[in-house]
This record gives sequence, structure tokens and C-alpha cells, in this order.
Amino acid sequence: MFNQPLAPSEPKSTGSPSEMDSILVVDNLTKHFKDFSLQNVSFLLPHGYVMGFIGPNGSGKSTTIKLIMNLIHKDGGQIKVFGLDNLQHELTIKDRIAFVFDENHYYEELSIRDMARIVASFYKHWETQTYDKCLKNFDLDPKQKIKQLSKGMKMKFSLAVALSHRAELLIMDEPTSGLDPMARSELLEILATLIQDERKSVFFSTHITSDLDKIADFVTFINHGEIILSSPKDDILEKYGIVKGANDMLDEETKSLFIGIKTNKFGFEGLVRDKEKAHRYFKERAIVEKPTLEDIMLYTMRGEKHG
Amino acid sequence: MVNLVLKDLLILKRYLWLAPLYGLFALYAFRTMPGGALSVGTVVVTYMLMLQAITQDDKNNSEIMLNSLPLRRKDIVLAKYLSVFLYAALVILFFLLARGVVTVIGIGMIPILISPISLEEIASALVAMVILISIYLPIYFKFGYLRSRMVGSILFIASIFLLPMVSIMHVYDRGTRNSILRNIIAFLGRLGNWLQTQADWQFASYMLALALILTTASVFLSLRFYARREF
Repeated sequence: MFNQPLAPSEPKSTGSPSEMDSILVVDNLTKHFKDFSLQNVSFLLPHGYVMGFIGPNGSGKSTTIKLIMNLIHKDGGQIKVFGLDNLQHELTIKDRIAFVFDENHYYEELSIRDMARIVASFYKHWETQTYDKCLKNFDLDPKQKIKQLSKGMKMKFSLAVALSHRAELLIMDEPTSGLDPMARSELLEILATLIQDERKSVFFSTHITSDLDKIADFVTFINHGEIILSSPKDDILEKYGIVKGANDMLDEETKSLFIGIKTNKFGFEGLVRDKEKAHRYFKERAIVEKPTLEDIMLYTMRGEKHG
Repeated sequence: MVNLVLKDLLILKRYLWLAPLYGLFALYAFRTMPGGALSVGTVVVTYMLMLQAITQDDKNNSEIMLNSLPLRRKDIVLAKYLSVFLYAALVILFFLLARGVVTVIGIGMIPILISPISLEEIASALVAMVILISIYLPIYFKFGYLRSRMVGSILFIASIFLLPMVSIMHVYDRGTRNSILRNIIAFLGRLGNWLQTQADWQFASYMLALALILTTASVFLSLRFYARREF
């Protein structure tokens, strides 16, 4: 299904087919803060796909998104959206992308109608019909003030605005955080419908990995400001494995096979990057299971030091 | 850019009635100080409206939203200046209206000194406002609303009391022993005398030129600061 496995370490040259087909290219992006650094972040999102951007709180997800939106200034590297440099072609790009943030940044005192009127005036291709349809589908009353909306409703309003100006790329920073399970599942359903339109691509950050189970085609995992992996989701879930076995199988050599491992008196459980290799190594002495994205995230963060 | 000015007006919908109301109030409160009412009124209302719009921008971190829209940072800065001048124009317009209304209703009912409004008055009102915002806005664009608030308040109070203070200082100039203060007072006195020898239109054009220079320098600084802001 995916003929372009994406790994951050892959050498990329300008004009390579994979980069040309990509709607979003982040290359060696670097940003230093006093207490945190984003280091050589690279990944690409092909046209028409959904990429989940996962990582714990404070791992650099929002920083990366803010850099893409030019809300903060990069120290190095390059960002290309629609094949265009994000700084040189800022206006063109922003006209063609939509954003949804984790919090409401609209004016609370305004009604939905007034706020949409303001936002609409800045986009070249505002579609009133699409917008009205979204409001109706999302049960939003245009007369209501934004401050009267619940967190889920505010998110839906952001989404209605994001979907109404013919955007080709939707960038979302933790849209599900702080939503109750109902609102979260509703939002994910809306997204699932949305991505059936293959002209639209979605870049979606979250620390709740189960958000991605249904909708993500690609997963990029960031931790401590560095990309740990960036690949098609199915590839990751096929290749990685959770190995469970008895403690007596573990020695220094076997431990080196694992990305992360935890042990207790009944045995061990650990994550391996290559399931087949683990199969060959442990044979029937251990059980190898398919991991979830959450397993991959947790074991990678935990590493071996707590093993 | 015009869209951004309209955005500010839409945000301020609930506060715009302040302008005519204050026009009337200033007319009454500063009735003994011809020219003062318009200056103080313009400064107070413009500053309050500008601050209200900025507070709303700050409240939900709406600058993040604005800067994610297809907008240049430059336009965000220029729109703020443009909208401030629009508020000032509104205030002056309402002030003239208020004065007109008082004249029609009758002076007997409300004890207000009615003198024909001069170009000089409008010029000093604009200059007072320009000085205030030309200092405040670059600080705001550099540090954001929260950290610029204190400076803003000091400027605001200073600009209201500066005019009356200068005239009071003039009266007491012989009483002070501080030589720097005396020099300042003497300079202001000479400046005042010189200005009085000038025609109305000359005075107005000096003031407008000063306003123009200040605004240009201020806009230039704001643009530089805002281009570097991180959200």
C-alpha cells in the first residue's frame, strides 16, 4: 500500500520523487530554547494521507507545528509546504492550509457568526455553503457567543472554519486533548469522514496514541526534540513486536535486542524493532505479539534503564 | 489590512458608545480649559479603545490565530496604527457633534463654555494621542500586552496630567530652586511664546509634522519588533 517507507535517517535530495510528491517536507529542522532543543527534525507527508505526530508532553510536537506555521523562528533546516518554502511563500501557503489548535484562540466575546465573518475575510476561497453545512452538521448556532461553547463545541467550530476555505492541508495541534470521550470520538469520526476526500492531507499531533488507530496512515514519533521514527503506520505495527518470556532467557546479549524492556518476578516483556529477528532468536521459548502504538511510545521512552 | 481594522471594530462593538459619552463628559469636565477637553478626550478614548482591542487579542492568545491566517505580520502592525487613528477621528467627530448638540439645546441648561473649535485644538489633540501611542505600541509589539501594561498605564496617566502640569509649572517657575527644572520651564516658556507668534495654520502644521515623524519612527520600530516576536 505504501511504496515509500519513510525513515528520518534516509538520505533525501532535493527533487527526489518522494519529496516532490510530498505536501509537507520538514528537513533538518532545528530550534534551540533555554531548556529544550528541537534537533534535526526531518519527515515527509505524502499527498492525501494522514500523519499522526505522537510524543509525550514537552517532546517538541507543538514547537514543530509552530515552526511550520511560522509562529516561532527556526534556527536551522527547511520546511516546505506544497513544495514551497514556508517563509518565502508564507501567504500562499497559509491560504491553502487550515489549522486547529489545542485551545480556542478565537475571540470569546464574539458570536460564531461574527468570528467566522472575520476569518472568512482573510481567505481567498471561503465557501459559505460548506461552512453553513458544517455548522448544521456540528449543531452549532451562529448566534451563540464563543465563550458559551463547551470545549468540544469550540473544537467543532475551529474545524468548521478549517474545512470551509478549500484547504489542502489540515494542521492540528492536539485537537483531542481535554475533550471528553464523547466529543473526542465525535471529532475523530468527523476526521475519518473528512479524509475520504483524497485531496486533503492531515498532519495531526497528539499524545493519545489511540486517536491514530483508525485514521493515521503515517506515524511520526518525537521524543526529547528528536524524531524516533517516521513510517507508514502499518509497517511499524508489522515490524515491531512485543516479546514476553521468562527472566532466565535474559542476558546482556538478548537485552541488546530490545528497545525497551520491563521485568518483574514472573518474567519480562519488551519491545523489539524486528519481530522476525526476535522470532528466530527466541523460537518458541517466548511469545511475540503485535504491539500497539502506545506500546511503541512507552517502551521507547522508557528505554532499558528502567528494565 | 482594512479587514484587520474592521476586526478590531467588531471586537469593540460593545465599547464604541464610550466615545460620544466621553465626548460629552470631557466637554463638561474641562469646560474651563479651552482646547484641553478635546485633547484629553481624544487621548482617553483612543487609549481605552486601543487597550480594549489589545486585551481581547491577549485574552485567548488570539495573536496565534491571527498569525496562522494568511496575513503578514506587517499588516497586523500597520492595522493597529490605522485603527488608533480611526478611533481618534471618531472621537473628534463625536466631540464636534456633542458640542453641536449642546449649542442647539442651549447653554443655559448645561454650563459649558462654547468656543469655535480651532485647527490648533484638533492638532494638539492628535499630537497628544500620537505621542502616547508612538511610545506605547512599539513596547506592546515587543513584549506583548501583559508586560507592556505597566508602561502603558504610566504613559496614559502622564499624558493626561502633563498638559495641566506644564501650565502649573509655568506659574510656579520662580519658586523652584532646581536648576534643571527651571531650565525646562524656561525653555517651555520660550517655546510657548514663540508658538504664540505663529499663525494658527503654522502651529497646526508644526504639530502635524512632529506627529508624522514620531509615528514613522514608532511604526518602524514596531515592525522590527513584531517580525521577531515568537508565540
